[in-house]
This record gives sequence, C-alpha cells and structure tokens, in this order.
Amino acid sequence: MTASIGKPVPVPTEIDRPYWDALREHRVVLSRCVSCGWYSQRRKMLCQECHGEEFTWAEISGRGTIYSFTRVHQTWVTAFQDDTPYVLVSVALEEQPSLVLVTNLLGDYDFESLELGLPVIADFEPRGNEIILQFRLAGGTDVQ
Amino acid sequence: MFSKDNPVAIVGVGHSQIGRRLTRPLGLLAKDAVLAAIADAGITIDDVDGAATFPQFPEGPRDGTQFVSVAWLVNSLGFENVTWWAETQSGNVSTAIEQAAHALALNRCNYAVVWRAMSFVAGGSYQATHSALEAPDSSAFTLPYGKSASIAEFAPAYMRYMKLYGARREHLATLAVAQRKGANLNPNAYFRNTPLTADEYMNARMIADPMCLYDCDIPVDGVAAIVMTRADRAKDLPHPPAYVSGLGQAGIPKGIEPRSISGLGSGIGPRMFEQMQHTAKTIGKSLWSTSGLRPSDVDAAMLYDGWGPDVYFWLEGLGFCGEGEAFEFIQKGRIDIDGEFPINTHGGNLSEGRLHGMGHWVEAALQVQGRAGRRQIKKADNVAVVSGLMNLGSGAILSKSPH
Repeated sequence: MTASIGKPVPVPTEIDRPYWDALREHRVVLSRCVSCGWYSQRRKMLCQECHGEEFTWAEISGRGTIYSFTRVHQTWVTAFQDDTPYVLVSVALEEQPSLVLVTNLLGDYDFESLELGLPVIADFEPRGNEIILQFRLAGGTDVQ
Repeated sequence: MFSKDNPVAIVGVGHSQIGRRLTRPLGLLAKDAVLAAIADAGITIDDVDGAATFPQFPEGPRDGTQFVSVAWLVNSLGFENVTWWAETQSGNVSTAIEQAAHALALNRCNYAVVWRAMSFVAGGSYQATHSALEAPDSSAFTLPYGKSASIAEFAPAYMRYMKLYGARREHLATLAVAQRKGANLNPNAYFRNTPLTADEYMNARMIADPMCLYDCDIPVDGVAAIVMTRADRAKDLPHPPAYVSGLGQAGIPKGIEPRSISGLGSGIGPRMFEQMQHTAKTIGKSLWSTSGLRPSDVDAAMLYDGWGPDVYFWLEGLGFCGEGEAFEFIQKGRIDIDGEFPINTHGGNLSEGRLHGMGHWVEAALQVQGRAGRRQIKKADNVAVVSGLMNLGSGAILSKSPH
C-alpha cells in the first residue's frame, strides 16, 4: 500500500470505541459474549449461540489463516483509484475460525502464491487519528 | 406438486425493449411488457385481478421513471378489477411470483400479472462510488481498506471455490460463451448481435481476481412480465400452461453475517461462499419436497447469474451435481441449447441483460411451453428457475404436465 494520506478514515461509533482504542495500543479486541465466549467484531444485540445479552471486550492473538482473497482492479472507493490493483484478504481467526475479518494484506508477496489456509498475523496501520487493523503473512510466503 | 387440485401456471410472457440509456421512460417500458404479457396470455385488462412486483433496487425516488410500483402501474394502465396485490419489500422478483402463486391457489385472484422493471442507473454502475474521506459506522470496517461494491464479496467467494476444487478461469469461459450463444438467438437480448469467444473471455480485463468483465452482468433498461392463472382457466387460453410444480425459498444461515440487497455499499458478508451454498441448498430442499421431483427429472435450468460463478453454487446446491463438481459439469457441450442440460438459454443476466431474474422466468416458461423458437431445447418437461443467491433467494420448477 502507498501512503495512507487521503484514504478514508474510520469514524468509530461510541459502541465500537473499545475496538478502536485497543488498536491504538496495537492490540486486537473483539466483542465477546460473557456467558458462552462467542466473538464478534462488533457488539451484537444478542448472542446467536446462547441468546446471551451481556458482552465484554476481549483481546485475541491476532493470528489467523487466509479464508479467501481477491485483488481489486476496478474500485468504487475514489481514494483507492491510484492504488489498483490492491489485495483484500478474508481472515479466519485462530480463536474462532467462523469469524472472518476483511482487511488488506500488507507486506511483500507474490499474489499468485497466495493460498487458502496460509497463516497471517495482525498488523496495524495509522489512518488519520485512528489505527486500522491489517494482516500480513506470518513467516513469509513459503509457509503452508 | 404445489396446489395439485387446480395448479397454478404461467400462461403469457412479455418483454419491453432491452437497452442501455433508453430514452423511453421506465414506466412506458413497463406498459410495453405488461400489455404484451396480457395479450400473449389471451386475456384483457379487465381480466387482470392480481398484480405483483419486486420494485426495489436500483434505488431511486421516482415512481414510474426509476422504479414501477403496483400503484403506479395499476393506476396508469387502468386495471379496475384488482382484488389482490403484493410488493415484496425484501427478496427478489421470485418472491413476488411465489406470493402470486399462493394468491391464485387460494382463489384470491384469477389472473395475476407480475413484472420486474429495471432502470439503467446514472453513471452505469449499481455500486455507489465512495468519495468521502470519513468512514462512519459500519463503513469504518470496509472503506478504509478500499472494500466496497458487491464484487468485493463475490470475488473472494469465487476465489475460494477455485482454490478448494481446482477450477480455473477457462472453465467459466464455457458458461459465458454458451450464454452468449443463447443471447445471439434471443431477439430481446442486449447482446443479440455480439458474439463472444473463449479467447475474448480469457483476455478480458479483470474487475477483481478471479472475476473478469464477462463474469459480471450487463446493466440495462428493460422490463419483463408474466401472466399467471390456474389450470381451470389456463385450458381456455391460447398457449399451453407452464405449471408451477415446485417452490423454494432460501433459508438464513446461522452465524454468517447477513448481506442484504440494500447493503451493497458497505455490506459485511465475508462468508458469502457459505451463504451461497446454504441458499442454493435450502431452496433445493423445498423445490424437491414441494414438487416430488428429483434433480434427475429436470431437463434444463435458468439459474440467476448476477455473476457467472453463481451458476456453480446453484448447480451444486440444488443437487444437479456434487459439491466441487460444477466447473467440470458445465463442460463438453452439456449446457448448450442442444446439450443434455441446457442452462440460461436466453443469455442470462450476463448476455440478455440484467432483468434481475425475470428474464430467467420468462425463458423457463417459454421453454416449457415449447415457444422458445431457435432456442427451443429438445426436452423441457421440467425446468428449474432460481434467483437471488443470498439469504433472499427463491425459485420454482415449471412443468409441462401438472403431474
């Protein structure tokens, strides 16, 4: 990715604030059901696993694997028009692989070498007054 | 079969002109298609007592030019005998057709007209362009990554399919070329005069890997309509009925962030792959249980193709082949008009134009009725038609005999 100047800057809602505050400390926290431990990126009204209504924010490892990916050639986000093609990666989280987060995939790699299941690790990119979650390959592209 | 005592059938179809940036307003295109369908069915405006549509998307505030509501059409065409109507607010036109089938089966009306009016949006893309530098609320999780537009969800789903099963782009070229051949035989199709070769497909520009230009549907201005009635009345009409012998609607998978049609700009949906599998499987389950048929009883399928690879998910989920087999299933001429399992013989969204599933319904009816002209397939006793490959999908089996 090129410099982030001019890219869309997250404007967090109050309820998402703990997620963004943790990113500023280079930590990844997610909403977690108090009664059964189910994670979600944003706080839910109720837990789909146990119907619980109480949630906390819990730190996760930042490790995951590639669930899927794409390389965007035509974008509808104006600020990215000079950056095409760029990669979006869908990451299945180690703590709960059914939870898939989408970010860019930072670092140097050959797009053609990307495969499902490659391990990735959280990274952090300053964006305006916030920091956005990103992922990069863990241990280089030769890891399977 | 569905409503076996007095089954419901499609008895007439109609198209407007299909084009891009047509000067004729959408309401008049709707008039053209609806009046054509009524005339084709051999009835009059006074016979019409049921009306339904799916008026949503693409968004626009102006009834009659950007969308065509039931109220606008019934009022403008002067239908004075309407006793039942529906606008499905979520789903797709198949949900409106299913509601019309139920209304007919319950004698709430006798002749229902259902239409789908699609306007070609200003700027040429259904996807909103995001120029703001602030990404509030849910968009804080998408726009900072350059993630927008539905292709950012469908392309990874297709990538996952290819990686899991070993499919390559060449495999999907077969579908695009086969559908274009059908469009070249379809006088209503946007690409009726434009051929497409596998080489052109392979060399097309990428939109989002592995999805290229020819994997995307073609936005158009256009309207298609059908007239439905029951068997007791269908027997007096000019064309053979295409009976609705089965109906199916998508389930909603637990644990997968739903992606709604109104959330195109910032939808979440990273597990679209599983959502599409679930959608096709649950629609299939109801199609087979309501019709009493099996996939092997079906001769052809009109499968919604907002994106080309959708067809893989339909074929596997509905049970026409096994999981991970669709990309090989569609090879070697099988899906051609003269093949053993023709698919999207009218050209589909990719080549007829994006009538949002209504083109698929019209073609399924024409094939079952034996009225598809140069596109007529050898055997069309039972034809599947499905649209909406998300939580909101639904479909039917159309049949020559009421079983």
